[in-house]
Amino acid sequence: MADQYDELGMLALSVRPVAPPPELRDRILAASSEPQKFVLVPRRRLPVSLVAAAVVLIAVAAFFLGQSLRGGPAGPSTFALTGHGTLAGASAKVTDLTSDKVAVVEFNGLPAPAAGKVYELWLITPGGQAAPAGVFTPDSNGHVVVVVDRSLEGYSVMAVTIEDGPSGTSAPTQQPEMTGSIA
Amino acid sequence: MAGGDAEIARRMAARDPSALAELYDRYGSLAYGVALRVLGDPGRAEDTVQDAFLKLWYAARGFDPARGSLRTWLIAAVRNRAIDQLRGRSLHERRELALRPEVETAAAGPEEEAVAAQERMAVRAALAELPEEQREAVQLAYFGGFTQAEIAEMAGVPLSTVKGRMRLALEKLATYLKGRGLVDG
Repeated sequence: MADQYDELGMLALSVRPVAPPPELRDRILAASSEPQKFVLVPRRRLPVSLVAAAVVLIAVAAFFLGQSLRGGPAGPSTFALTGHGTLAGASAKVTDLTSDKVAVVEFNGLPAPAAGKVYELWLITPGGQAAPAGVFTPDSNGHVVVVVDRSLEGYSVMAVTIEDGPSGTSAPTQQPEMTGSIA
Repeated sequence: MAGGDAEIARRMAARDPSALAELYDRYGSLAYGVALRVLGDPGRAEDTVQDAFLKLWYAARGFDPARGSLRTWLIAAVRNRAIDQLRGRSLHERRELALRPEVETAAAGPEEEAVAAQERMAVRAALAELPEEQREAVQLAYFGGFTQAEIAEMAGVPLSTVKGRMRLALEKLATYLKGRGLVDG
């Protein structure tokens, strides 16, 4: 455990559990049934323009927060994904907001997936292990913005496959047709 | 424990609300304890715990057992969110919060497992065996969210010294806990 999510994390085990107020449990369970504020499939939840505006705000905030905390330029990193095969012509820009442990992926030129299929995003370790990072479908213009609510640390490649909808799979069933280095 | 966590994560990814309830029942007290330890403020600690559980709920599909247990992921989310909440406070207040001694409080309840209590006492014992400057360095980093450069500035020592202290502290903690079978080798 000590060398995983946070090497210092073992210090948490020195903390004695404290029973939270009883109403907190109900509050969390009630909130979990509400629509997610930060969506993975904007077409069904929010206008793309609103998500794009949020992305810009997050990027700007992260940039200035990084500067104020570290006293120097520490803006987000960006990477590119390139499509090939059936996804030739599609592309994506990955913006890694490292300090927020969030990445934003903006896809363009994606063809509509076949009926019953969805696109699934993967984070792949240098050892080839793929972790699912969300399913999505593009709008009629082949555009979609996907938020990856986790750190990209420890992963070297981001990839996209086409899987069964609506939930995708826990492991890729095909070779990715869109990939890019994120290391 | 790990198998149970993996099953909860799978059910959360499938949007089974009972899995979130089970996760909360299992780790809610630890999560609240960590948030309270970092923030020292019950109201903010509640908000932090709520944010962290909802983060895992929405991101459960991204859970990777190879990178650690669900408990580790949850507590990392609680701690990181709590540190975010600390940012507006003065360095002095953050330092005092991070370094305040651990105090045994009222029991969390019968659900606290004996193994968790054993872990807690072992980590506390391991921390107590560290030289003071090493213990302070890791406590300031974890509970206060201070960078190594900030710790060096507060202590009036070179950055390399703080890096060395933290590396030694983590090595000693890991060795101590591995020797007692409390962390993976």
